[in-house]
Parts: sequence; structure tokens; C-alpha cells
Amino acid sequence: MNMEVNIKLLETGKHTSQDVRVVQLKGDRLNDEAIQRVCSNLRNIYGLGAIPYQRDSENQSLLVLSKKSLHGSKLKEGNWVVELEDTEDFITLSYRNLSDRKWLADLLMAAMYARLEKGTRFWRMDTPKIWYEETPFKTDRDISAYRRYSASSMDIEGEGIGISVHVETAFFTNRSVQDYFSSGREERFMKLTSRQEGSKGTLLYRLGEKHLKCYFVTYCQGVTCGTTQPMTIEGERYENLFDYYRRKYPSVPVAPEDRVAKVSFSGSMSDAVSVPANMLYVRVMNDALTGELKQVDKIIPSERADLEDIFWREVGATPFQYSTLKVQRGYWKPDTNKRFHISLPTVLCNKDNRVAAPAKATPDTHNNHFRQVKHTFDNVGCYHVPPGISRVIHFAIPDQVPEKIRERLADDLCKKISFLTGKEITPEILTYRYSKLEVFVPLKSLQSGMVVFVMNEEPEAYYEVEKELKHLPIKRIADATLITQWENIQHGKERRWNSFIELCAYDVVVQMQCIPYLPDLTTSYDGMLVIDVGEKAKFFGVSLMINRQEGRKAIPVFISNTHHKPDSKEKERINARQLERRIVDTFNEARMKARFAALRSVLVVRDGKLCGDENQGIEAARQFLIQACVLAQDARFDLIDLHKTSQKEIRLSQSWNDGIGNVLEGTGVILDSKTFVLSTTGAGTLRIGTAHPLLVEVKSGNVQLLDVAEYLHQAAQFNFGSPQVAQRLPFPVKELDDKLKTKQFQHIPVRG
Amino acid sequence: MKGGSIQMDLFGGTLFKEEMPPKKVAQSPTPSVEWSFSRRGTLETCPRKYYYQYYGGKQEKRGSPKELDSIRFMKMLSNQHLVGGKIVHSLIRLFLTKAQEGTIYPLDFLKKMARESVTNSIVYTENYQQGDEKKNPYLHLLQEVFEERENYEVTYQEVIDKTSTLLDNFYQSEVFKPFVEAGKKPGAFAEKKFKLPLDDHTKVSGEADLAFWQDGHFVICDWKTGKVDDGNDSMQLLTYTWWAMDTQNVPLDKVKLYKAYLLDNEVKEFRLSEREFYMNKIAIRQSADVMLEMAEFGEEGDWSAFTPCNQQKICALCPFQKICQ
Repeated sequence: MNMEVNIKLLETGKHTSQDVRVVQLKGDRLNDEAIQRVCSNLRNIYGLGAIPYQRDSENQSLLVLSKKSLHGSKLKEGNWVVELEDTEDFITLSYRNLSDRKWLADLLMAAMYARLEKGTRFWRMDTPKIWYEETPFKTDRDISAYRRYSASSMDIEGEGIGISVHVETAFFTNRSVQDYFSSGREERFMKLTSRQEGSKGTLLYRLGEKHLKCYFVTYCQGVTCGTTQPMTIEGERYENLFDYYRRKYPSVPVAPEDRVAKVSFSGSMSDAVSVPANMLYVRVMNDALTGELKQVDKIIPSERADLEDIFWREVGATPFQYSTLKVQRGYWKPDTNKRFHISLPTVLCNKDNRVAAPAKATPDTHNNHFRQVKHTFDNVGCYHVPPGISRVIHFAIPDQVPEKIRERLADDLCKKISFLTGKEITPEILTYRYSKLEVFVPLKSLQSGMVVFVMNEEPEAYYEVEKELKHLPIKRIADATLITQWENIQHGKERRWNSFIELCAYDVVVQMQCIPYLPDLTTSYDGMLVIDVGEKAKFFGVSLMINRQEGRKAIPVFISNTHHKPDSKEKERINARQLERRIVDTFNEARMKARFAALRSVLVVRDGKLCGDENQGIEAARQFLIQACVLAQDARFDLIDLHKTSQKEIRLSQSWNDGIGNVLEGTGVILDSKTFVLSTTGAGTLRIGTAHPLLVEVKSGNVQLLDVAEYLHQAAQFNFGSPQVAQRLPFPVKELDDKLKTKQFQHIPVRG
Repeated sequence: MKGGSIQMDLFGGTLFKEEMPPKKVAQSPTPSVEWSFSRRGTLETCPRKYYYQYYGGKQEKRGSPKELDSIRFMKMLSNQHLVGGKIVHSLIRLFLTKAQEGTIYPLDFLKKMARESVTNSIVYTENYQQGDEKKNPYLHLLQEVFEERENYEVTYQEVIDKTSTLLDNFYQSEVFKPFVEAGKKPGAFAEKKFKLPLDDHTKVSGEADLAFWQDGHFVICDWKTGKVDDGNDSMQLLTYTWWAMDTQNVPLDKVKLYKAYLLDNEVKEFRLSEREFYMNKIAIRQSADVMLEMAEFGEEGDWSAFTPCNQQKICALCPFQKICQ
């Protein structure tokens, strides 16, 4: 197997060492943030790689890669000034010393950023970690697509320091903020910045050669650079904005009649400043894309490899400023002891049918396996149907939707669900009128059942319906989607309508607590507990899968709940006491739902990163659950961080007969004794783009990496939403992720 | 087609509560909360402060009596940024209610009362004994004085100066005259407290500084003692509008909202569109959802579920900083 990782190792491998200067900072005592600013200034001004070294009551020093002495240089910013004391004191960082490895990796990365800053054609916005191509590779109307690269360093056990380069796509408008507002296209501007959805609107501020990130505050109608109020900046008085730019940035073309917008560089409205609106461009989020640009961020492995080569050619074989260390010519090809492949499991289906695990691991056998799972499911129905499943599905559909569409949707969906469940399920259609207050009274009186709610795409309507009908599962269908699907029938594309009905039916049966099919899970763990925080940190959630149960037929239990996070300023960190309570609540709910023996081992997945004292909350919950006999006395909680995305974006690829392609589903690479990447999607079913592996860091001791990888991969085989393709996330992770996204969507951002 | 089809007018009503009889709160195990704009602000700023403010002093089962007394005492503390506004608001209410009865207090008298309120509050705080608050309901316990911060006399002289400016402007500025004159007339509401049911477990409470009918419109004025800002307090304005619509039967387009900035002599008018009204109402419900979820911890006295903000600037002004763990 010829597998490759988007990482270049140093030629010197485990024997790498580097002499570096120790530079003392004299003057003001700096905090961590200010010391990082000193390092940034050394990169921006002198083109040097520097990282913080010592900081205690007596010393504050940096490690710097520089040919020349920096002695006597002064750096000043805000309310601090420091002088660099460079006494030609060198130390040697050696990869052989475990304690040096992180410094070595960080310093080499800083030196590479310095090279990118001074020696390449790439540009960056704020972080030095992401670099953009000079020119767009594609433009559609007012949006241009740019390739961008992010590089990061890491220690790969037994191999040395590696540098990964990841290619992505970013979109910016090619028209300025002034263009939108002066030509009456404000609505377009609002759409592109997603301000209606509560986003601030990220802008690119092109100030001559500099590119800065800022946030839109307001457009100053009628105000020009020549008519702003006088201002004083750093003790200097300027007549107006034009005067400021003319004197401060003489090479930047600014005219008195240029329009003005207010922006914030910190994201806080309180420190808004005026800038010429024709220097501002919108950073367009992927959600706002249409047409040709929608798919350009999907890069297939061979194209990705070509783009990575472009990056490496630009930085060269010795990419670290003032270091002679070289990276290897080719990419890292992990040895057999570093890479692994987990087979797809046998899948148990209804009526004792089963789809056997593929005997050989090839893209074709994998593809065939997934198709077989879907085919079997479609033919034999659900593996498990709760005995008390509701025999009526309520359809709430706006009266604007024509009657024949309403009836066709209800009939087709119930027919499919009846087949999948083996129960006669009938529809009950309720039509309603749209109104500004979406309240749905009759359904509230139902004790149980399932509701398919066709509604508009407004978050507040969704929130109202879910809140009022919180005791019922709800399948939401957007009215626009329904009409589009109906048009498919009108245009003779009945298959598309059938696919739509099929996908809806799969979702509904899962919401009705059916289990479509059951991947044969490993016995390494009895259950998986997932903890996650939603985007913008307004909500967190806990989900649970219990796969070890009493009884003749294995029926896993799935529970997934979201909760408010009042301390959203804490970002990712969940309050330990709340977390403890919610974990216990979730297990209690599971116990109400099914009988299971005390669990012996649970894989605790922190989606993202374990923060603050969360582990105390988890441990307190474990203790409580042991006391409550939900867990066995010696029950293990193996804790992992699961990074769906990370700064160290690693991609795996493989040479096939027809060229470079994705690795197979279940392929992984071990980075060190605690860290691995696992590609749950891959060559079998992924047709567009490159598989995006999960990065897993084990946080508990005595954990078998391969057991964890196997359990995660198998849990991803609960791919009920699209059985014919591999699913990236383990089911409980996906369930919770989807719920948190829904909650965030429903959240109405009101300031003040 | 199998099954049934029912044609219903589902959204005919204006509020859910009008269509379904409300459940008795006492029968429900779910805690209840009283949502207010300031309560929301406290929760957003610091969940731990929110706990102390709304639950801490009530938890007989948790904490020693001494700790509970401390929390109850600290809840009464006002800092320099709050006390001036409180004094000016209460004097404006006094002035308007007396004027409605036919007595016009002169400006100097109001300023003297403001000054005395501050100076007496300093003495009161310096000599405070437990239970004194019952004897002096109109005085304020001052945080800076209680904490014996340096130069608190200077700090509170600045507060006196500021209240004097605010009252000067209230009394004399032409921009506020239409509001002051309308507020002096009988029938105008001055600092009207209200409570509105949001759902089975939540009430929305608020206090409209000044409200009156004028030319077929219901005018609501909110006195602001800080600087003019562009901060969006549409949720607060919504509660006033909602109160007006609920109690005065006034349609949305007949409600006029003003923010009167006493320090900067400026009045700003605000209008809520139907959509803004609706969206803010949803936002209040969502905010109340958070409070309801946290009530579970609050009512058990489980302070640790309320994360302290640990932000220097906020903590410096917090009356509970000494007990915050």
C-alpha cells in the first residue's frame, strides 16, 4: 500500500538539532500576549522566527533564529517598551531531548512564517498560519476564489519534526464596500456578509501592500474622507481621514471624495474606526456561494498534491529563515507500524439478513458494501422497530402548498415508512396559514406521535414549533425544498422525488426510534459518551450510545440532548458542574429507555478539546454513576479529544492504478503514542474532494489506540441518513453536532 | 389517500396563551422565572453574579446563616455608576407625581435632595448595622464606601456633580420639555412597574420611566443617565411596547418610543417594526429558556454551576467580589 501524508519530514529526522539565540527582553514586564506580540514584531519587521522561551520573576527571554545580533533593538507597542539584550548566548535544541521537541517544532514553524512573510509572493490577513495566493484562480460575478495554504509543525514519534501543508479555498468580493453601497446593492452586501444571520461581516482591508482583517460596523452615508471630523491619533492631529492617509500612507491612493465606512479590528463595536470604504472587501462565507463557485473548494487528492507542490516550490527545500535545515523532497510515507486499516464491519439487518464485511479492502469492495447495506435496508426494512411505534404521522403543511403536493408527500412518505417499519402507518394532514406568530395549537394536545412539519426557512418559526411541540419528534421540511422536489415530478424526474422521499423516510424512522441496521460493534467499549459545544458557544450537548445490553437482540440506545450555555464568553469550556449533571441526566434517560447491565467501559469523546476543569465534571459524573450502579465498580471512562477540524490539518492519500486518490475508509496513521488520524470516509464512496480525517488525541492512560480507532470507525457505520456512502462522524457525534447546529440556527441574535 | 385531512385556522390568535388555558404553575415541577432586561444583562455579563443576585440570598439549605447574610447585604450595595442613575430616576418620579397633584418642586430643591441622598448614603454606609435598611429605605449602601476604597469622598462628589447636571438638564433643557410637560399632567405614568405573562413558567417584568397618551399615540420615554450610544436595547423597548399594547390596547404603530439622554441633552426616537417586535419577543423567550434551565441549579443553591466571568473590569464593580469563589 503506497500511502502518503501531506507532511514533509526534515532530512535530518531524529538527528535534527539547531543552534538558536537566547535573547533577553529588558524593560517592561510583559504578559504572555505581549511576548507573543514581540515575536510577531520580530517576524514582521526583521523577518525573524522567534518564540517565547523563559518568563519568570527575573527573566523574560525569547529563542530567535537570526544570523545577526539583535542587541540594542527596541520594540514598542501600546503601553510597553522592551530592549533586546543579545549577548550571543546560543543554545542547541536537539530532537533527541524530549523537552526540546516542542520548542524545536514551534521555532521552525516561526522561522517558516518569517520566510513566508519576507521571501514569498503569498499574502496573509491576520494570522501568520494562513497564506493566500496572489491572484484568484476563479471568479464568478462579484466573487473571486483564492487558494490558501496553512502550515503547521508537529512531532512525529520516531520520525522527527514534520511540517504539514493544507490547501483550502477562500472567497472575497472583487467589489469594494463602497461599490455595494453607492450602487444600491446593500442587500447583496448583507447577504454576502451574512449580517442578517447575526454575523458581524468579516472584511478584507487592502491598505497598499498590507492585508488586514476587520469587521463591518456601519457605512457612513454621505460622509467622504475629506468631510470627516478632525482627529488626533498618537498625539498627531489630522484635519480629516484624507489628511490622515495622505500623511501616514503617502503611497496609498486615497481621494477626498472616497466614501467612508466604520470598521472594528477587534470585533467590538466600541472601538470602531473610519476607513475609506473602497479599501474594504467582503470575506464571503461558503454558505453565501452560488453557481460555479459552490464546488471549487472540493479539491481532489491529485489536484491537492499539485497545489501543495506549488507551495513547497515557493518556500524552497530550506524553508526556515536563517536555518540550513532541509525538508525531504517527497512526502511522508508512514511505515507499516505507523499506519493501520480497520475493516468495515458486518452489518446486521432485519429478518436475520446481514451484509458481510468485505473480504478484500479495495475501493470497489467498499463501494459495493455500502450499496449492499442500502439495498438490503430498502428491501427488508428496519432491524428494530419499537413495538409501540405511532401508527399515525401528522403532517403540518402550509395552505399555500397545493393540495395535490400535500397529499402526495404524505402518501408517499407514509407508504415508504410503512414498508420500512412493517407497520401500517397513515398520514393525518393539518394545513395551516402562515402568520407572523407561528403557533401550532392542535398538535400540542397529542401525547405522542411524529410530526412532519413543512415550514419556511425562518429560524424563529422553527424555534416556535420545536418549543411548542417539544414533546414530539419533528421532521422539518423547507417549503421551498418541497416545491422544488415537486417540480422534479412535473419535469419527468420522478426518481429525484423518490430519492427525496427516501431520505425523508430514513430520517423519520430514526426519529421514531427505529434502528435501520446494526453494524457489528467491537467489544472494546460498552458505550460512547459525546460532549460538544456548539458554534458561538451558546449551547452545549451530551449524547450517548449504549451498545451493550441485556436481552436476546442487541438494540443500541441513542440519546442526544442540548443545553444552554450561559457562560458563552468562556467559548469552548463547559462549566464542570453543569456537565456533571447533564452526563448523569443522559445516563438516567438511557436507563428509563432500556435495560442494560452496569457498563464496564465507556469511550468519552470530547468533540473538540477538553477544556478547563471539564474532566472534573466527567469524573464526578462517573463516580455518581458507579454509586447508582449504572457503571460497574471498576468502570473505565477512556477520554479522547476528537478534532473534526484542527490547525494541524492532515490529509492522507494513496497511489492507485489510475493515479493519486483517497485512502480507503478506515485508514489511519499514528502520530505518537497518544495521537492518530483516522479517515472514516475515503475511496470507496467519496467522489468529490479529499477525505477529511478525524484527529484523535487520547487523554487517559493505558488506552489502546487501535481499539479507539476501531470503535470510532464502527460507530460511523450507523450512516442512516445516506446508507450508500460512508459517514465521516461516529453516529452519536453526528447526532449531537446536528442538534447543536439546529439550536444555533434557531437562536435569534439580538444585541443589547 | 388514507388517514384524515383537517383544515384548520391554526394561527388565528395572537398569542398561544390566548388559545390554550394556562396551566397552573403550582402543578408544574418546572421552576419559574421573572424575566427582566436587567436580569438578562446580569446573566449575560456574569452567571455567578446572576446566582448571587437572584438565588444566593434565598438558599436556606445551602451555606451558613452568616454567608447568606453576606449575600443579602451585598445585594443591597450600589456602586458609583448605578447610584446616580437611581437617585435621578427616583427624583424625576417624585417631581412628576407631585406635579400631577399640583405641587411643583423647584430645581434647587431636587438638587439638594440628590446631594443629601448621596451624602446621607455615605454616612449610612459608614455606620451601617444589620437591619438599618428597614429604617432607611431611601438611602443607598455604597460599595466603594463599604469597601473603604481610597478617595471615595472624591468619587461621590463626582456623583453629586453628575446628578446635578442631569437634573439641570431635565428641568431646563428644551429637548425634554415636551416630555416633562406631558408627564406633569394627571394620567401620565411615572416609573410604572409591570408584569406580563410570557408562558406558563415565565413572566416579563419591567418599569416604564414615563408614558402618556398624546394625539392618539401612546408615548413612552426612557430616561438615560449615561452617554448617547448606539447600543441596541431593542429588547428593553419591546417590553415597554408590549406592556402598552397589552394594558392600553394600543396598536403597534401607535406606540412612540423615545430615549432621553439627560447627560447629552438629546432625545432619540425608536420604532419597532412588526418583525422587530416579533423577533424580540422570540429573543426574550430564548433568553427566558436559559434562565429556566439555570433555575434548576439556582433553586438548589448550586452556585458552582454558575461560571464566574473573571473579567477584571466587571469584577471590580461587582458587589459580590469578596465572596465570589
